[in-house]
Amino acid sequence: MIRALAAAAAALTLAAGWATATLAQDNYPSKQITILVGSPPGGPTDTFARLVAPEMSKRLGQTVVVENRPGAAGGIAAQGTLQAPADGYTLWFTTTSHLVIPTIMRDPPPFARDALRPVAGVAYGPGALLASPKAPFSTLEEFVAYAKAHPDELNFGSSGVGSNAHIVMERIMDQLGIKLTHVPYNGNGPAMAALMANEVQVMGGDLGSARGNIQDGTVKAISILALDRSSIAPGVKTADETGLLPGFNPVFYLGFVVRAETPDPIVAKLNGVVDEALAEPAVKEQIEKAQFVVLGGAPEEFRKLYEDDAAATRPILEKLGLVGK
Amino acid sequence: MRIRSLQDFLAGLIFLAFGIVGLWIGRGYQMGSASHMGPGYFPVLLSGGLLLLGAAVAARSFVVEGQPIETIGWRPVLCIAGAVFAFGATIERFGLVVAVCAVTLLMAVATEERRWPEVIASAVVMSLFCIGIFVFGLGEPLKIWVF
Amino acid sequence: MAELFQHLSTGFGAALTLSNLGFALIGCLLGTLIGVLPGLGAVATVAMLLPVTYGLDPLSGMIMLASIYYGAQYGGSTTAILVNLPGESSSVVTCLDGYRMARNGRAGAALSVAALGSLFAGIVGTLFIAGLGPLLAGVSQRFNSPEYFALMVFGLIGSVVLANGSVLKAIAMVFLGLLVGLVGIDVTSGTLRYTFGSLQLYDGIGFVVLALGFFGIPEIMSNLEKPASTRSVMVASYDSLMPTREEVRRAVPASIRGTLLGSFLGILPGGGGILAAFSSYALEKRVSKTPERFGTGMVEGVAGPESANNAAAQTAFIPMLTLGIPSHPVMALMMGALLVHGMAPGSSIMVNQPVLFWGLVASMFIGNLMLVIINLPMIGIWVQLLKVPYRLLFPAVLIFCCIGIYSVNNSAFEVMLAAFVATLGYVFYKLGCEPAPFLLAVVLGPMMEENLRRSMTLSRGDPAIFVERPICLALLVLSALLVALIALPSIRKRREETFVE
Repeated sequence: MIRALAAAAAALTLAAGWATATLAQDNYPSKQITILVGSPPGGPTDTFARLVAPEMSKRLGQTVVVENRPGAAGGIAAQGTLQAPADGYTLWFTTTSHLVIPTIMRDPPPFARDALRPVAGVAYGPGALLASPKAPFSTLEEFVAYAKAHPDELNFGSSGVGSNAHIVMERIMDQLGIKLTHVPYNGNGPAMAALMANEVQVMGGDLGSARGNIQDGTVKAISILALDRSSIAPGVKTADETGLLPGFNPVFYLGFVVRAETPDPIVAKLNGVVDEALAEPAVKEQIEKAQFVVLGGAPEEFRKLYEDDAAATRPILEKLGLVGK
Repeated sequence: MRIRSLQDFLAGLIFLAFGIVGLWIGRGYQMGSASHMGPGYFPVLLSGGLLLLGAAVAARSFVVEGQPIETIGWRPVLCIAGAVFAFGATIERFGLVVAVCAVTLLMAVATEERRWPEVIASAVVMSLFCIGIFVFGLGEPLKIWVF
Repeated sequence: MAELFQHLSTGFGAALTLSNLGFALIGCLLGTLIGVLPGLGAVATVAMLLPVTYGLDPLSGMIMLASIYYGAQYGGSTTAILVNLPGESSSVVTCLDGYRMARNGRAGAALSVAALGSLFAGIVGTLFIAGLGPLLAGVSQRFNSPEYFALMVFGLIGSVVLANGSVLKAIAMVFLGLLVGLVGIDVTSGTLRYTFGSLQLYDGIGFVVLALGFFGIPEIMSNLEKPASTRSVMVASYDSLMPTREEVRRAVPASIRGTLLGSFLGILPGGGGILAAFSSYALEKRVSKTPERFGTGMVEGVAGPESANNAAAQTAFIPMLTLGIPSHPVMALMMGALLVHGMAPGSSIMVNQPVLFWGLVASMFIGNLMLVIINLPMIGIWVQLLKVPYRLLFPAVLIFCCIGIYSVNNSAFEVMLAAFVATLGYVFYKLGCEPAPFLLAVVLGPMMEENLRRSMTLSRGDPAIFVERPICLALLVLSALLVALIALPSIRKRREETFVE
């Protein structure tokens, strides 16, 4: 008798649980959704998140808030995402540098990449090779020639060890057979200031945040690191065009991820909503004004992008001895 | 030999302790050389310096007369530290109201002058006040209540 | 000269519209409120209001954001003086003598001196922007890694002068601060130091945690341990709310010195309010005829640093407006806003967008004036607040501290950490170890190390770089002189009398 009751209770609980779960999925979203951003307010990541959030809110019928959890190169935001329930109410709006690099560089890694699953890619930003206005070269070809003729003279800046700027430059040096000395700074601002003052002569940067300086001549763009030229510096060739770095396209991606256990229907719904948000002309315009390109697309496309990036970056980090610090 | 300045003696010990811990952990970082300093260079240098300074301060305590240490009120200290800790421990899980109440409660324990009606009233007022200013006024993303 | 007047009149024309005045007012009020609440900073608020400005015209948006930023400097001194709580990080120095003045019954005077000194500094700072902007920007361009290193060294040596008590313990506190400043990721190598595997310590221990843990919270602890009757509450019958003639006489030169110092230091990216405030305090001690009385409520110790940090807040706009380099996170946010409006902040802004530039400059004059008008009458209210029985006041203060710390990074961890830091801070206070040199070292230390190692990388390991560069050499020589001055026997003897706060 007791056993029967116990079995019935167990069955009921299971049924209730299953029902609630399905109900939760069907009712999704039924409360506020939080987007975690791993950088302080004001950067491109944060700005784009705040751009997309209201549009998502409109379509989901629930408030979508952006919460900044800066620190540990995205690690704090990652932790926040992984500690929240896998119910689609906590999203991490991340960048490839936060998603990929710390998981290769740090031992133990701050989180496991496969504990997360992609929701949607949002945008990507083409890079540019920037040079100080006082540098004695203005194109990629001149730069390579100068670097080969004067080994150990040039310095390149970055926003930190293992940052996008650092990795991109290492890839360039590796493929072109030149060597410059790495001078890391504490963030993009100081690095740009150093570039302008000619403390470092070149830097790999993202086109969007450098556009003001390119336009008023305080830095030179000597090559566009993408497959298409840019309207900010129309006369500058892409690395691909020069033939020195064929197909070189080390872009910087931004997108949403959630916990891997999040149910498929919820992920699909979020993906749809993000796609629609990105199709809004106002949103598209802002993103393009910042010199980024809208992505969108299926979740697995985003995964391919960041996993490919991881595969390309790992050998560089290994070569630099930056794995397992 | 007697300790003429308890202040200096204890302070010296604290500095010494920090120096030792700093050295112990810091020895794992790469030192590099004077012209190419590694991440361990400064930690070791500073920890060593702190150790020596701590020893000097402690040594001096046997020589130079110092002020006596004022009475330490353990209850206020622990209650206040506890209150701050409680706030941190409860704010994310249980929300602002609970956190504020926890602090107000612990603060009341800290002093002998508590009057319970006052404590409850101030807990309520403070909670409302904080919600008003921080959540609505300044738009901070603070969880208000448990859910 | 005539050109300057013309520019300024264009600027005032744009800034004196009803709506722009309104934005300035909102910004000032918000800024003051934020400044008063510890931990809550201008950065978070500006970030939150940024999207609002996208819809406004660029000048109005800039005016509002800028006034929040320098308004916060005014508010920060209020709590520093009243309850030994630095509302803004640069107000830490104001706690030293400002709070003492309040305990002596001179809270009103301290607050007025702070407000008026800040007004003066704000106006002078704005004049610097208007007249000398590009020139000063050029100077800041000469400041590269070696110069920063030398400046930090100078600052650290000077921090010993901040000590009002035992010099040996002050030096030890400096070393401790340097060590604590190392916690986190090492910029030059990417290694994690002293983080004990915790993600939360990745970026180091936050300044707000340390400032409140060493200043604000231990103060509450020590107040509570005394029975209510012997608690030295703010003297009920304060003399007038305004400073006496004597105080004004001493405050004015301090304010002028602080303003000049702050105006210069504010231009350097990474220089900023804290360095300016500390340097001014140290300077005032050096030039004073009674340096041993610092720490007991000297008005110069309030006038100088307050003017310095306000001047620095104003001139911090120079790198952004003339070179497009943000010297402070708030500037970076404002630049982001400009970019959204399609304007590229940089050297061309003065030429291409004169209305924006001069309108902003003009509104800074107006804003500073507004802030004094807002703050001076409030002094009476603040002083009344001190009459509230302490047992009701201190829970509120503590809660504000907690919320403030939490809101910096949405981090509960930092609040819990603050509990431990505060206990340590209390212990140090009891043992006569001063927090000010410690805090300055925490700020300067990492920058000093970073710039030292970077300079050596740039010079490929050759230390001659420090003597080959004139500005750097000059600063290092000054540092050496400072050491000699401090070590002079007569001064050393006077310092070794142990004062306990």
